[in-house]
Amino acid sequence: MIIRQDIFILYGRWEIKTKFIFAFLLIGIFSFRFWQTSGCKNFRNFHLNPLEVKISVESQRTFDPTNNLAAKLFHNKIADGFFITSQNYFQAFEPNLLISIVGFVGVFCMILMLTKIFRKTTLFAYLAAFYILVSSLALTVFDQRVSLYNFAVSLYLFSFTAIFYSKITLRFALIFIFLLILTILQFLYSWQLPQLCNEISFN
Amino acid sequence: MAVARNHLIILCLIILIGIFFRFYHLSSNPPGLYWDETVFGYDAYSVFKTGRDHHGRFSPIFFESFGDWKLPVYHYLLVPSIAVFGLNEFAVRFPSAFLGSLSIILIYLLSKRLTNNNKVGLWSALFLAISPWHIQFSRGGFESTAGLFFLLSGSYLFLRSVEKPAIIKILSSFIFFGLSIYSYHAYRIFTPLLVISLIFIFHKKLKKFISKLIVPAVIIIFLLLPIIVFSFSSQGRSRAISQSVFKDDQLEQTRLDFDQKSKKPLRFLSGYIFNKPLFYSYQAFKGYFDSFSPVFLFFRGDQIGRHSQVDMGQIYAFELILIIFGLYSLRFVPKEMRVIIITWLLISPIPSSIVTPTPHAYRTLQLIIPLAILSGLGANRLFTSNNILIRLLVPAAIVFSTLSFSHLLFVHYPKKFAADWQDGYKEMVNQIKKYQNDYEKIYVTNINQVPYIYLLFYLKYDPQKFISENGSRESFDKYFFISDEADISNQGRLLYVAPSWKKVDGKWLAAVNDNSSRHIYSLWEVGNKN
Repeated sequence: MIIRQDIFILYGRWEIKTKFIFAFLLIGIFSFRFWQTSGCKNFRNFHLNPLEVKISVESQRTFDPTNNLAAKLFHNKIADGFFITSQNYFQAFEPNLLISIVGFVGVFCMILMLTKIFRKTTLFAYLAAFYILVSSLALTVFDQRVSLYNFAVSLYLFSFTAIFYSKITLRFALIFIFLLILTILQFLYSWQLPQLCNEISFN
Repeated sequence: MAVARNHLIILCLIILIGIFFRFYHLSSNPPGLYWDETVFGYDAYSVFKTGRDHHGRFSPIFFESFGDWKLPVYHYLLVPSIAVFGLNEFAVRFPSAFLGSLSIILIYLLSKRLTNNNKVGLWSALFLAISPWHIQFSRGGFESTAGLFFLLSGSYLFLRSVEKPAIIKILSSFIFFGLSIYSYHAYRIFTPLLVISLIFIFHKKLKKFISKLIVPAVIIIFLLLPIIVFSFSSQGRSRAISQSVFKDDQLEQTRLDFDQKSKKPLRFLSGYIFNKPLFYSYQAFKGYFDSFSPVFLFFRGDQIGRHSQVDMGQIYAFELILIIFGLYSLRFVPKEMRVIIITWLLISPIPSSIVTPTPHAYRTLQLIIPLAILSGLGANRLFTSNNILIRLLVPAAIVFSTLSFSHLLFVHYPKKFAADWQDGYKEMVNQIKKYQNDYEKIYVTNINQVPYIYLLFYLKYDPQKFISENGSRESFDKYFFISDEADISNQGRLLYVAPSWKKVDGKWLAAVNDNSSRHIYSLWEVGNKN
């Protein structure tokens, strides 16, 4: 069944009311996820270990003839350092990690917001996106708990902007509700927070 | 005219680059034949010589192999290859490398048709030609590469037939789709989903010539009947069951964790949410999203050594930027074609989402096509920029990354991943050949699994003799395959091929090393009282 977008579009105060209801639902689900993390005793570590670069260079060079030019060109601290740093940074954008933080509904809202960034230039959306990029960088440097919460807030903020920049149509509402239910289930299944937490207990 | 000629020259160069990456040192890199490659080769050799597989089945549609029931297309592609090149590593890998090279032409044609832009077609062809992901599977005897070729052919012909309907084009398209389904297990799921999507996208156009669809549809349904029946049989489901992500013990473990470690007021939910449909759907979604992991795609790849370089992603890291620009550039692509690219991207991980492990490069090989097209779109957009620095950076990134990959592929890979490719078996058989005439019994350790197929392959053992003597994975002729715990002290005088670490009460004869000089096996004479 194809739902035509223009069957049901809210305008005016009904649109604002519905957007606030959706926003409150998101706040509720995100608060639930925050509360779940209160049992975490040891958050996952995203820090970059500079020793990894040295180990990588030396282990790669063992497969090359000694003093080989190609070995020096391809396996050096600059190239390997850039590669490992980039890899560490992009760990924050693992789909299952993002879903673990904001759920399916949050990821849906974020993708919606990204398509709007591609089409229109809205300063607030750009700032929210920039906040995500900076806070994911902070994950690799600062305290695990604080930087992870900071990153989560940046993702939640970006998800919220989708609610307020989108037209409320029947299709949007149905997808949102469906994904919200999936998100609740997903948060319950992943009670152990395997993507975020190494040790969790509420006892 | 001059532009068209230039494009043709560039395409030819790209194809040559692709051929180089797929054929250079094909026999020796990857080092050693993986056991699936070996059984493909020997079954094809057996079909060539006797018309039967090595289990004695005449012209099988499905090959029993090691009990995992493989699909037929790659086996039958190997028959002419082995007839021409003989039973060796090159012959086993040739169809994959050849069809992988032809796929470069097909992605050029497909991409050009989807984006209506010749330059994007060339860029997409380049990114497939140098793609670490596609090269890795083109250099081994992998069914997925052949299946991808048929998938590309079917898709291209389908698009051609939508524009200018002709029964022969439609039938060819359906036959190629059917061949992809008969090539590899993942395409049993992916190809029908893609075809349904294409029909849905073009349903208005297809309605205008529906009469031309009836005969091809009937023919292809008839041709697919065997695989439909097979898919529901115990043999057809054996592989999927063994790799399935839907395990009862995992459901129970997760429920226990929830009951023990969650907040008490919420524990009543345990009985409602931990049911199979919901939990298995959750497992499948997790597996699905693993395939879009940026670490898997751009940095570390599949951690199975046969499926990637492991030290780099499935595709190049710089393609991350290109794909972002490619996604932005999709808005300039005709709507129907845009939907095809996005649909292909979204349904590619579905076959791997229901099995473990994930992410899995082999089962999601079809994902390389939309990624190459998006990279092509992004590269075209950047390369047409007025900024001279960007126009220099794009080719510089491509050249450096490709050279770096070449270094990993041709220098590191044969040494680093010898064990993943069962390297050492050929050398083992060569050593056995030197001594076997002096012994009436030869015992071989099965520590690295299915040694019998390597002996059959490298000895070029007569398949008719193997079948008529009821040879098996336990023994054939004077060869016996045993575990390390087996007691052979009372078996009389024999040649024993033991793991390198095992101390044997006998006379040491020779060592077997693989290409990276690892000591794998030792040959011993056992039971000689003199």
